[in-house]
Amino acid sequence: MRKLAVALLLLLPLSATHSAEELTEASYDRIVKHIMPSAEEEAWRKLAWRTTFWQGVMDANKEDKPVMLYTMNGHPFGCT
Amino acid sequence: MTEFIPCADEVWRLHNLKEPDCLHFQKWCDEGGTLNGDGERTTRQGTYCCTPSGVFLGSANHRDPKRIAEMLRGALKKWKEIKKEDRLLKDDPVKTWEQINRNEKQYPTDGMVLRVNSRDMPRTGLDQNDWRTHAWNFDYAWFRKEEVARMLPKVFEKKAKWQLPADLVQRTCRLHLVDNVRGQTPGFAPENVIEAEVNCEVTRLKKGVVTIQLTGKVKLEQGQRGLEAKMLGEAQYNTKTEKFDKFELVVVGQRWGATQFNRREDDRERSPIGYVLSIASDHATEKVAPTDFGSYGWR
Repeated sequence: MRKLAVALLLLLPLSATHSAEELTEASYDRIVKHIMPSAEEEAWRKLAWRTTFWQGVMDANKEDKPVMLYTMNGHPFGCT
Repeated sequence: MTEFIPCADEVWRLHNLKEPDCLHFQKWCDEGGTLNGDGERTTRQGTYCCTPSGVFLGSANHRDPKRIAEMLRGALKKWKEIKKEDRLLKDDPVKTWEQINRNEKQYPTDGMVLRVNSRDMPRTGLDQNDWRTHAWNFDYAWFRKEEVARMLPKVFEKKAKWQLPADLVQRTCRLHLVDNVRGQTPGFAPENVIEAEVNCEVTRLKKGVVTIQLTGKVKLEQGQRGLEAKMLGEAQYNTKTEKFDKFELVVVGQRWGATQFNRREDDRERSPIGYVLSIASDHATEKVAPTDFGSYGWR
């Protein structure tokens, strides 16, 4: 019985759910900072991206340059 | 990178539709081999290079920047070997653009666009070397001018209280408060909204700017997946420009369950998640249509 109780206690952390820090005026800024992307995570925006393939083709045709297309399931600049 | 015109797009549409830009892509996309296994239906996601006229220059699907750089160097070498008249389009591509049906053409210039950032909230027991621990994602929520107008009372008075229109709150919650932190996931259906409300209270009126406190709650549930969260934020409406100078809503709570592509197969228990909805910038990369724009019902 004692062994069973110990085993059940060991299993507890696995089944427990994780709770979020409560959203209050006091925690607000800290939570925003955690969720928002850092400058490093946003570094990709420094490139002069066109947001559709055809906008890339139009500008490439005008500037006589090759097109580099990055394409994913879900728009890479939205939710992918 | 200045030697290329970089662009990004959604691959399923390019691979499957019969619009001019899609047919252009389909003409050459497999010339370097299919990047994600065999089969007509296999995703074509990856990085590709081509001439505007549609001559294939290179392709790869790697996270390793060295592999992509190598592909780009090869593409540039091929580009230089092609005569100018062969690498450029003979027809004006701007005219073709007019024939292409894109959701982005409905961008609500005079309305409001919110960027919806999502990320897991801190919790113990996660591997700090696992990319999933630090994953984040974003999407855009669009509101037309008349929808923004419906968010406001006819007269502003200090301490005035009201709720944002239920249809707009429900649409935003079920299509944008989704667990996309690690990958794509579909929105919730209208019947999956258990509760969704955003309460407003005027806290300040000064020089034509109305400061509004936002509070709210949401519960979404579809089978084994769901979200239950609280909301808090602040908006500032400018009565002169008739636009929000600020609209920031933070949502924190618990998500659970998994969908086909959101990489939660081993993380189905309730765990903390957070969102920040705030006004998007005018940067070109922030004008992408909402992921589930088809469910907006805009015509």
